[in-house]
Amino acid sequence: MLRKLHAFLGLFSVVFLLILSITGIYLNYPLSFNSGAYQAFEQHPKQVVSVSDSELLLLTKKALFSSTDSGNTFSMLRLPFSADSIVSITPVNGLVYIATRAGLLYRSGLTKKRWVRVDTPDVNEIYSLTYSPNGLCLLSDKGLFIQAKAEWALVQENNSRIDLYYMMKALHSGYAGFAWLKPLFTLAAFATLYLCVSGLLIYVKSPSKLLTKRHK
Amino acid sequence: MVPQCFAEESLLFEQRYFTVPEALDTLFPDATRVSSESVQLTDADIVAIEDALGWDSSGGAMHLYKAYASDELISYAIELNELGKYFPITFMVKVSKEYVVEDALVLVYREKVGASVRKRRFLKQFFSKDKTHPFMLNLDVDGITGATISSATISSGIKKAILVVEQLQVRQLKNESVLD
Repeated sequence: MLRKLHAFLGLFSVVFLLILSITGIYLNYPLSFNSGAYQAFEQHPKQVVSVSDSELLLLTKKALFSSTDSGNTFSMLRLPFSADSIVSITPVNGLVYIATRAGLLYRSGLTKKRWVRVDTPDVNEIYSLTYSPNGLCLLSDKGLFIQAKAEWALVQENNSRIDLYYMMKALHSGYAGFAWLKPLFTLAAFATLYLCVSGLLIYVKSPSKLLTKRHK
Repeated sequence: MVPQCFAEESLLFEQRYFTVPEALDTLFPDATRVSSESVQLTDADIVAIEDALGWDSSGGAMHLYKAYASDELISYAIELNELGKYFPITFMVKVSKEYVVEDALVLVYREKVGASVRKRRFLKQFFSKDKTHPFMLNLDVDGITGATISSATISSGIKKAILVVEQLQVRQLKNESVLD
């Protein structure tokens, strides 16, 4: 009875374990399965920003594109950071600012794109960047900063409690201080795949053995 | 905190993985001679490099090394100091005569987190790339989780290394042709 229950529960969970292991391996090494396409609308566009009367910036999952002909054609911009980490694209008086999740801020002129790193407050994560009459407003894990006369001032401190959901999700994904475990996660995923397949084979074999025994 | 290019105080997290002679021995095992020179970029060089890069390339000391085997130039290596989140990462890039990345080594890492960028499995994805590649995280380079900024610094720095070596050689060839 116990043996049968074990077999049926194993059979039921094998599908989910297979999905978990295969998707886990993919998420660990996404670029290994990269299509290699560098076209704007082949890279999952997610945000478009008008930075001047004549220019649109299109943010995709993998790159940032510029169009100066009302969106008919796009050319990829060269960036010293990951496009995936961009949280805000903010045009300000003939300049465009880009804030990245990791806490860095870059600035470029509009006509000739040349990204220059700008001093930011010491923050771990930037959530958004916008422009107000008072200056640039930067929302981060440390709080709300406003830049006036090239100096950042902390206007509101972030006193939120630790986000348990965020922490659990990071821990579940293996990214909360455990990034060095990535190869082990991959090994575990392959081990799970092996266990699932071998378990399935054993399960399929057992009834066939029973049948041959009964025949005998 | 304002990013510091060269911090004056002793760095608590500084890790030295290679000295320059060790790095050169590792990068050029077959070389019979390696020459060294401090690199001074002119304003025209910087403009040409930044035009090709698309981002600011100023700052940081550079050293160019040329490896010879029986008096024949076999490869270049360039030592760069590129700013991570707070401190510069010192690394060396080996570039072929055709300006293709052949190898890279992190010599000194100074940040609290992200030292995994020194690992071979991260660096080897740059080998065989040339200046036509974007060198962008998540596009053609797989970054390291927990070391996003350092991964981007190394990635953009390696592209800069190719362009600096090429620019210096182009400039040298121009000077030689003028002298001839």
